[in-house]
Amino acid sequence: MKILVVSMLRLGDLIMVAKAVAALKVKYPNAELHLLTNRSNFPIAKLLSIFDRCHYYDRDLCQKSINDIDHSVFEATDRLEDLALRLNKLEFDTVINLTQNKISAHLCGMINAEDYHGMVTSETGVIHLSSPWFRHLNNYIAGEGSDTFHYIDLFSSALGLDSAAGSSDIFIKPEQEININHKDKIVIQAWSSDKKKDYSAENWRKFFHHYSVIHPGIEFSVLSAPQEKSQLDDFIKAVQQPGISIEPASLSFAELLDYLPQQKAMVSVDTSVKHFAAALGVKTIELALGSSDPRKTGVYAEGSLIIKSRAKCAPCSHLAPCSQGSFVCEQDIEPEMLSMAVNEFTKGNWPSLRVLAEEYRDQAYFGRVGFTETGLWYSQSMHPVEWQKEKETIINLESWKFTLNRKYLDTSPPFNEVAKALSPTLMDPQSLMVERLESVSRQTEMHVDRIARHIHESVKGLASGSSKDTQEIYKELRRLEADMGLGDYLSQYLGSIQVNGISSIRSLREAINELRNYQVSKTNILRNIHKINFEGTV
Amino acid sequence: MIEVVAAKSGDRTISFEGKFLASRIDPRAESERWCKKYEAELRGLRSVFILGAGAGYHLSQLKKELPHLNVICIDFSEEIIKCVKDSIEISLMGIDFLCYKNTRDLFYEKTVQSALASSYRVLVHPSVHAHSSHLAQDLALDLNGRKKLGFEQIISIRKDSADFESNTPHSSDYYSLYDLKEHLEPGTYNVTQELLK
Repeated sequence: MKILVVSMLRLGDLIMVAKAVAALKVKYPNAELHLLTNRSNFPIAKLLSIFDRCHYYDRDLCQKSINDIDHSVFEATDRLEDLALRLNKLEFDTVINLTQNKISAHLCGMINAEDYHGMVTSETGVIHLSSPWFRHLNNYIAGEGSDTFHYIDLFSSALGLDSAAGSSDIFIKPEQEININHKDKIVIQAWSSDKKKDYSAENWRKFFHHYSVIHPGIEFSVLSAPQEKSQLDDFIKAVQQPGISIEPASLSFAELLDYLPQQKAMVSVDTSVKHFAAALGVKTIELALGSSDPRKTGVYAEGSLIIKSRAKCAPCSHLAPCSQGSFVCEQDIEPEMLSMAVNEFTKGNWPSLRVLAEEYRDQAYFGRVGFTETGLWYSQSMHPVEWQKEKETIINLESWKFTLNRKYLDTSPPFNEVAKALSPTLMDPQSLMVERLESVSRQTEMHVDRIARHIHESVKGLASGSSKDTQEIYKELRRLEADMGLGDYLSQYLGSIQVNGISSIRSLREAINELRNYQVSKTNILRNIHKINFEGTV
Repeated sequence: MIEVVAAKSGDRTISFEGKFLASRIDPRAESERWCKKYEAELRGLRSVFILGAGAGYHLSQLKKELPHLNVICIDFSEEIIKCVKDSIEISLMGIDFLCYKNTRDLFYEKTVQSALASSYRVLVHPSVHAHSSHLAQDLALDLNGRKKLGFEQIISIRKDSADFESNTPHSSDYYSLYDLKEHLEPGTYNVTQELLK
């Protein structure tokens, strides 16, 4: 069997995709696994051991050719067609598109295969999302819904694969041994490709200073890609202080394979290096600033630490510039606090981290990365009240997983299995919490059911030509939502559906049915958690 | 007047109306540098139009580096083409030479039509600046589909070679992919939208 996995975003996304599909190799040991990615991802793609062959798309060149009159006006689409022709010669059985954008969907539509997963455009230009998981990603998660799966979990679940939480090594064995004098350094990835996600040189300078006071003799190294060497030199000049060892480490990803596992810990802003380090098993602290959203792309390794600002505007949009006069999210992360956090983290002293989190609770979030028994990623706040709220999110995500996997269609749906699997993570949720959640869930279930029936009737009316136009139906839906006190609950799930015709009303109906199934599953899962906690029987 | 003279490297070079079409010092090394500049971008394409025969070294070098590439050389002087073919000791195997008379006629050439039907690139060689700079720039725009005549011709060639839908062309002089939505299949337009982001 030949499988083509398509990942046409950036380096970090490619590492996440590799983690997600690593189980494909286990599930289909004889399968030939190919990767299609952007040429700019070559430095990572060539190090991935799970793919038998890599193919590249030169997105940068195609973008350049579009409006440059020195290039043919057809060059971008010609190149895409040539690529599809070349790939078609390889006769793939399955195409898996783990990139949620139009160009990858179009390209996948041009590749002949028996089976498709992910977003694919048909010959008539219609976009198909092959599974409920990809529809969920398209309609809800990409639309900034609040209960969000980590992308790695979403991709592996969408492909029916085992959780990626404990997935094996995705990289080749290091070929280049780095000649290093000192090991056990604190490694810093100080900047990213997006200024909004960066921590300033001045803050890093203070961080180095404070850390050296707490832990004299500690050594640091600062990473950069080889092509960023001059930027690294400038950075080192800006942060260098007498008596503190800060070594520049301008290394390729191939060199990092050997270098990173020998170090004490890694502190990184949101970049591909963060995913790289975590996949190598390096103790990692993620500084989530600006548009960085750890719920979707957080460091994916048990026991990692996430520190993020509590600024109301965070996480901001990836594409928009900072809406504030200055980067307030960066200001929330005080260098002194960060140095203490890194110090306690390297010692594995979580109780002290909890005290620190409490002290700085108004400005920073401290989260410890964990996985549920079913393999879902979560970040556990160091603040107990906040952790209670996060437990609710975990229950929501498990309920979504149950729904999107269509488990509710089983003859006897395994609600109790999910409840049992959640128990170690929830760790004796307060009785009132479960009771309250169950009651709210049951009520919401009834409301959603009523709205679903209403929409069903409206669609029937539209089909027979007897009732109102589609816009009116949508308005009515919003009114019902408000009347029932659901807040923006429905809008979160339905907001991305443009209501402008009968087909969109059908999409709306499908989405509401999905929501109804989710709500039923959630109520049942909560009921079983309740039983486990208080009756001891299931 | 055209002259073949010896460059310092010992290779032959060409002078046309008193201007050199390739280096007087080392035309071979010069052509290697020129090809290196475009090699990566040309990889994966089916054809390349080179406007300007120069002293031919760049054509031979390109064919050597990218043997699968269909190389079409267009010059504006029969005399230059003849001189390159007859007097320069290099292999020009597999390279098509065409002499430009006018754009319309050029689009009727079978070699040109076949190249325009799939992926290609147009490169203007510096040697044409010595004699036909404006003509070459104009022709490049037409071959790139960035002017009305060229755009219409390419659409028509592609329509004939595949089932390609074409509507009434836009009336402006220059075309970008923004104008293509009327001419491309719906799926293709999605691609252009995505690329334009």
